[in-house]
Amino acid sequence: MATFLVGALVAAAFFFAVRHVYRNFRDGKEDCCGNCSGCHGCSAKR
Amino acid sequence: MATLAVALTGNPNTGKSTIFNELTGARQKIGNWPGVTVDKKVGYTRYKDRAISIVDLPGTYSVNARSPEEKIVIDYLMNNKLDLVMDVVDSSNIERNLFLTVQLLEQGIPLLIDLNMQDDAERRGIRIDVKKLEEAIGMPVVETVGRSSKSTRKLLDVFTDTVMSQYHVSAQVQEHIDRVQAIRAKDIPDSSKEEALIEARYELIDKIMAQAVNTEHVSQSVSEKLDRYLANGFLALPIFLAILYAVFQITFTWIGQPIADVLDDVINTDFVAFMTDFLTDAGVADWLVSLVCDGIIAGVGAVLTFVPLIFVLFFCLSFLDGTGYMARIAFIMDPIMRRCGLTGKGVMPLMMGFGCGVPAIMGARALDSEKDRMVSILVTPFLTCGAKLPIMALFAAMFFPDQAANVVFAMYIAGVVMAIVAAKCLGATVFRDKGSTFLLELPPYRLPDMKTVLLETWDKGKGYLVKAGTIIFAASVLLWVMSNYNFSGPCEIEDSILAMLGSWMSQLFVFHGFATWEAGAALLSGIMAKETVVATMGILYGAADVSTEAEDAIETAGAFMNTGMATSFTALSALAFMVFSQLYTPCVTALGTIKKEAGGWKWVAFSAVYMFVTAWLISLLVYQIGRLLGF
Amino acid sequence: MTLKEGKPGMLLKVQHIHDSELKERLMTMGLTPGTRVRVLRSAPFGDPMAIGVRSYSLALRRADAEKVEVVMAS
Repeated sequence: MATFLVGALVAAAFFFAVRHVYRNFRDGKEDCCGNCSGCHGCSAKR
Repeated sequence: MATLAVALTGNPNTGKSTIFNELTGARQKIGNWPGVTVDKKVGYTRYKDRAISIVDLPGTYSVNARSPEEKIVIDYLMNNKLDLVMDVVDSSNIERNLFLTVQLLEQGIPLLIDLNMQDDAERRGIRIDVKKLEEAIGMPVVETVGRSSKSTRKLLDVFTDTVMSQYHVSAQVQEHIDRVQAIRAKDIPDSSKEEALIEARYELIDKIMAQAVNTEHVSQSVSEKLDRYLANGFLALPIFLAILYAVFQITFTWIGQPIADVLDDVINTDFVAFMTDFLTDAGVADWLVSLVCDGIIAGVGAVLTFVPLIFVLFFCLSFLDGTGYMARIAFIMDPIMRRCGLTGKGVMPLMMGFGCGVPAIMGARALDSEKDRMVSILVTPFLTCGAKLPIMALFAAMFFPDQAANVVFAMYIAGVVMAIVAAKCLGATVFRDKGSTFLLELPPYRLPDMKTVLLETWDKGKGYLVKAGTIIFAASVLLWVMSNYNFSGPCEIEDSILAMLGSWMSQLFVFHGFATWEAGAALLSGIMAKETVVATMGILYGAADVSTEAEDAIETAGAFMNTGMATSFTALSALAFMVFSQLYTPCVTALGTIKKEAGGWKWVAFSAVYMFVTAWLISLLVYQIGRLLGF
Repeated sequence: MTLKEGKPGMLLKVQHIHDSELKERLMTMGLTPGTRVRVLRSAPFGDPMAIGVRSYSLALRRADAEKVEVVMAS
């Protein structure tokens, strides 16, 4: 019983994790630190 | 009442983001503008029973729609029905700031002009007569002093009370607009038209300045005095190195590491012991207990341990960014960067590369020439990103306990040197004959707004947490399966699929001193995400299984100390391994970004291969020369 | 003379900018004919240089500064 419960929990978490990774890949997104909007440095643009 | 729609626009370095953060606090949504990877920030607040939505547009010097940011600003302002557009102007730099203001007025966009950082301007002796400025332009003007709750309330008052339709541009601005239309209608080349327009705008600005601003008693600014040391000649370089070194000391010795040690203790000993007991008592099957404790907790935990380091490092970088010092780094590094085939401005995306290669590669967009951009994209992944940091921190703490911070610092320097050498080579071969320029505002030094720094730190750091919970979690499960099974079922770890793949990979490192299948497997998994190198080590060497009796040895990575890992490497081979992990093929996410930004699989294949080869050679050199020297 | 020859402390006046990639951007950043410019300092090895223009500081390389024709301002 406990095995089943914990197993289901891990399986569900694994599913969501893989889905997240897959969706990131599909949408061309990434989790790393956003992008450089907060950076005042790269501002003198064309 | 309907929601009040407000948009903030203005030049870079005007304190616009600070105002946005002060107004909306944490009630922000960060998304993307359609089609481009530029942050779209929308915040919400309530004032006097009125709901207010505020959009923070990217900071730009003009709106000629040449960069994605400029296009976003003008498109958004032209195509949306807004109740109020606030143009944030840095009072001490009002002259150039008014350029954008004038350009927006030409487009028929009514503006609320915010003279921000009035206190700074006043201290420098720049006196702006608000009444006269309102008359000269015909638009409402409000004064603020950056971060202060008084200013915030004042702005909210103005937002809710101002009715923009009551305001009309002054006669001289209208005259200017007519003149602009006349110039546009002329039959001359576009570039001459554009130049005539720019001159006309500054003529109007000179007029407005003469009417409303008194600059007779302007004194030398504090920034000017500071720059005599921080951005002047050779003295600037050692100061820069010292500041960088201080950041590392803060991260690895003073603040980050001590917290990481505590966390390591809690996760890798207390929590594992608790979970093992708890699950076993509950009657969970042994294989599942192993999956949870030796797989998931060991893998994810090994990565989570380094969260404090990442956050402290990001905090330091955001703080430096907020002071205005980053632009000086670009300035003083340009002579060196240029000789290496890069530009000083490339330093900023590169500094971001210490956080994560992905935004750093995207940040290369800010560079002026195609050559600078491509070279920067291709060399950025050599740097020590936040995900490589755990590898360096772990090995340094285990094999160089007395010199940990220095060894990690040396690894960072090695990454930088390699990036510079690669840039030089690429610049001299692949991207020869392409010009490069450098034009950069040196903004005044400011004390960063803490709210902004913290929000930025959280913004950047949370990606690391999300990754731990998703890709690292999934990878840990897979790695556990691969290390406990082979094609015929459960097996000893030495016969597992992972051992097979790892030993195949490790063939490459026979002369590097770390030809163990564990190292091979760790490096192989590192291509998925660099954090998994440490996660794999955690699973393979069973750091989680360490008993609590090792209290005295619990410094950093204390949990790893009593495992096979300490005997699998010598100090020298550990160093060779660190060098290899530092330089080899970037993670898949970074490769994906390279494809997007550099345009094409060609560049992905190129960077994957040339980085692997470089890493292999350098690491070999380190090990073999080290042996010759008798280490 | 051109802005390239500017030494720290000099007060100069922009005459004309020769055609170059940067011309429009330099003008947008405030370097229009007639504008007064103060040379502030330079980075290690003397290049790039920092100038004060329209009450802010701007950094540019000497190679680009060569395109900016200036005269000494009194």
